[in-house]
Amino acid sequence: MLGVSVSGTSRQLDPAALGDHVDRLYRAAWALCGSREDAEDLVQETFAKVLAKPRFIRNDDDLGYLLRVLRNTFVSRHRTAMRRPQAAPLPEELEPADPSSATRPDAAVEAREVFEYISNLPESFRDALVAVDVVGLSYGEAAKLLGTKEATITSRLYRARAQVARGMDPSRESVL
Amino acid sequence: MPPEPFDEELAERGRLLIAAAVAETRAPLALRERIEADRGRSPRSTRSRRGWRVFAPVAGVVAAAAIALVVFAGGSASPSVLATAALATKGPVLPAPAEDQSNDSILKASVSGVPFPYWGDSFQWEAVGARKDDIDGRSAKTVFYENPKGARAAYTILDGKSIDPPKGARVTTQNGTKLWVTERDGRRIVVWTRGGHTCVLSAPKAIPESKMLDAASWNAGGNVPF
Repeated sequence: MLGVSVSGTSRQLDPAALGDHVDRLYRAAWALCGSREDAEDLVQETFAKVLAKPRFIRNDDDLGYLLRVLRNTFVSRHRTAMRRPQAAPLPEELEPADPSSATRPDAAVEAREVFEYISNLPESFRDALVAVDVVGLSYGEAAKLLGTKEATITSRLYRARAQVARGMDPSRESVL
Repeated sequence: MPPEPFDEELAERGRLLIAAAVAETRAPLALRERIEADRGRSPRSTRSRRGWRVFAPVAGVVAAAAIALVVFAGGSASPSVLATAALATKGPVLPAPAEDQSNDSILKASVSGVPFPYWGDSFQWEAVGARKDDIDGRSAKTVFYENPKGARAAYTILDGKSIDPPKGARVTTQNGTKLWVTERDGRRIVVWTRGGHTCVLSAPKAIPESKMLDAASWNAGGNVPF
């Protein structure tokens, strides 16, 4: 379903199958950007890049490939944005209400907070968390994607998860 | 050094928080539609179409048959219906409209004279909120209804001339009203017209289709204008 083999080791990515990954990439984008609106733009730009020409990949890891393009696009956009004058953010009360596509309002707020918090983690922690917990790659796939060892991914994940828990419930710090 | 038990507990809590956020979050329909539109314009698609040239005569006949089917089914590809249905996932931002004191079958909210129904007594679906949006230059008003179990349905009336139902939607008639039914992203979508305006009712698939059709076509003995 995913593509046509063109050689012994590579095959062409099938654009028709890309839709299966939109949800996961959207969550990853939100966790990278910290904003739902930026996440939508990032995912659309990622797909536009992938669709711009035929893509050949060497294994079955379509999702890993797409996440790599998404992350590269995010890094590139971030660098470009840093060179531009920064716009002042909207005051909290002017933010559009219920920006999540979640079905329960309370869950929507919590999901938004979680993704915002992840986006503010140190880059190495954030990337490990996005790859494994948000997108669902295996430790091995994440290690390959991020150019590091599985043990490093394990350690970063562990610390990143703890930071998220602490950040979402700051009162726990005082108990320590 | 092995991790402290408290750190392990904290990491596990973080993992669960993230898992919950992931489970609750899906890409908006509008984004899917934009990507789908991009895919339709991609060079790969163009190249694939070129490969079918040798079959052009046969393809022409097939295409004509497909168009005829779509016409007779009363539908065509209509991203606006899906965009309208996507409002259901955005949630309410305005308070629920009150019941109309002069007509207990409708709410004090309408679009170009087409009022939203009051479903509290007949279906146990109470209005819990609303929102106003603009879709492709048209205003859309949505009222959110909730049943006693907390399931939520979104009823949108789109201003302006009625639009085509989504491609592939099943058509049925109930209480003299023609309704189109389709499913998208775990939700059932019912489309029909009232007073020349498109109405879209969207609810989780757990809600029986018969209940949605009953509610959509309910006219309270003529008290809810169609």
